[in-house]
Amino acid sequence: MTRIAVFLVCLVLSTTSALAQAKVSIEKLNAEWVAAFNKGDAKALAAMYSPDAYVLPAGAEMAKGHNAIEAFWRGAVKQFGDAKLTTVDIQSLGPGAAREIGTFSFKTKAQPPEQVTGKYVVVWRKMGGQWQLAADIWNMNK
Amino acid sequence: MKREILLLTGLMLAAMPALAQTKATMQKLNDRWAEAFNKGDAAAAAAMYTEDAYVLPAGAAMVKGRPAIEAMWRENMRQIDNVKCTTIDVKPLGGSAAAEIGTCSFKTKAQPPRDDALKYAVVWRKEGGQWKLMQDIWNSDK
Repeated sequence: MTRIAVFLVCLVLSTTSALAQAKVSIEKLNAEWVAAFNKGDAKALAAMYSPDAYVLPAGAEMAKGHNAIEAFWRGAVKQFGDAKLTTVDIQSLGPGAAREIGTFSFKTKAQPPEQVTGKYVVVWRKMGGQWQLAADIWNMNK
Repeated sequence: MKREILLLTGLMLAAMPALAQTKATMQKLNDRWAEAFNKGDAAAAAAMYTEDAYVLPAGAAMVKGRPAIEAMWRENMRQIDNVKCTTIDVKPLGGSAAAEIGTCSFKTKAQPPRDDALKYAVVWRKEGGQWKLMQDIWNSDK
């Protein structure tokens, strides 16, 4: 009985810490994503997605795979900068996947710059020990 | 022994179409969701979401939880109908979750009615043997 209780406690602790670890990894990766975006490095952005990832941009057709995703971000970083991401919720979907919900803001590179804000969902998958974006979609509140 | 194996195989085959994270399964669920929507049954549409699901509508703030989701769909049903959703890709995430990408076509209830379309990403989660939407977000190509 005691042994079962100890086992259950360990199980709960290990799942909790897996989610906590995923959260830490995802927040670190979001910081890397923002840094790459703000540098205009479309190649580095695309490399953060899984090879079969989908990006579903608001106002443009969906892009699948590294090449299409890199081309999409190359266009976007010409028009936008100063990106900020704020995680609202991360939920674990088993050991190798997580769903993140967040809000974003960035500024247009027009003169004067305009701020654009919205919300996003990312499905993260752990491939070969590395968390990658498997699906990325966003929209605006207005 | 042989009979047991046969029985088990039969059981597994019978369970598969309903439980596996396949395009066919998700398409069937989408058809059921669209049927509820087109009938104007917001409660039935909301019942397909998990208790604490998030919906991130294009052009409106995110909502969380079944009552808020039901209210949001009730409002949407006043503006559009003839919804038809098509699954494009399903990625199984562990044994009890799946990420799905797809598109929907619909008609606005304006005069004259206008045909429009959107793309979406949802995450399904199995709860008590049933697939439920735990997250839903969409946007337009334009």
